[in-house]
Amino acid sequence: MAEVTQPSPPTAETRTTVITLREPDFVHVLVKPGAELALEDARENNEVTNRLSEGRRILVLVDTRPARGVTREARTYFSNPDIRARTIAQALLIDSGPSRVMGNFFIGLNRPSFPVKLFTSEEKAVAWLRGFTK
Amino acid sequence: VTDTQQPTREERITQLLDLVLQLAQGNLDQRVTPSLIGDDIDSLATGLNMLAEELQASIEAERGTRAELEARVAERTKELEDRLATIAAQAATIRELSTPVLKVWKGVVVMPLVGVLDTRRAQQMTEQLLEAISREQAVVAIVDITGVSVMDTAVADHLIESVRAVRMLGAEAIMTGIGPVNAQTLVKLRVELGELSTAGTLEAALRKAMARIGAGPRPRKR
Repeated sequence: MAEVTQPSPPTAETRTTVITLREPDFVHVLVKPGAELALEDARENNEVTNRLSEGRRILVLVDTRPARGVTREARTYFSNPDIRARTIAQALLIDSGPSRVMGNFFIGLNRPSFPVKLFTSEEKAVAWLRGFTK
Repeated sequence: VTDTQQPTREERITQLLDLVLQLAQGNLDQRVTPSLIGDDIDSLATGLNMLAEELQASIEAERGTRAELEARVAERTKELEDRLATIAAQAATIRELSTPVLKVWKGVVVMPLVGVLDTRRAQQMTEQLLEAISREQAVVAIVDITGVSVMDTAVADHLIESVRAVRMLGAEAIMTGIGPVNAQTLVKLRVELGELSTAGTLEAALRKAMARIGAGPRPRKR
């Protein structure tokens, strides 16, 4: 993990993602092209997200479109109680490819207890997330 | 990965079909590697991989649960077997203690009975008494029922049968300690006094037995 020091916005890069704190309560996660997320990646991404948001409750926008795969262990980790407590809502950006399958598996099988929705439009995803903090 | 190394569409579909076949055969650890194209075939590949993972996890969880249940059942079964063995041992001890036969003199045995006398215990009493008479070559068997609080007609009937069985062995049975309630029960059975030798107390029964075997106390010399 190599942290990129930028004046604004704070950004960190992990093996599989680039995580940006767009606003104090809004985190954008961009999955790297062809990335396959395993449990260790999930943990690393979570730690980085926590560090960037300094433990605040946040809205999360995850762009999964470039992803190639995600293991069951990683999906299970993404719905663990710590992440549930930290997440106000999460929007998953998908396309018609594998990301759509991954997103549906996550919502259908892992059943995270925080609000999660799939979007093909980033603009709509952001608007939906913003609705939770108005 | 260069374009020249990318498998053709037909090859990718063949890979998916092979995976489906492997999964159908129960090889749930099989996976297919999606390409970087990100088309529908890759979506299917991703979905099949995730489906295989879910099936594998589900089966492993079920195996774990089953193994845990089997271990718990085995543990409980062992506990129950141990308890049953203890209960059986205790029951055997209680049975032996509940119908003791004492040899008080050569040719004389006494069976003091205490507590509730049910049919099973009465039957056991008969067996032990007959065995003791045979073993000790007893001539007189005293059955002391002073400590028997209640005796129903079935048990009383059994006692009478025991007395008859003692006679069949050539011995005499003397029943003692018959309280008012038990006396009434015996009367209800219309037991002939002639067939039942009785004594008011154990001492009287012993005197009677001694007289029967000719071993009464000798008169003191003056």
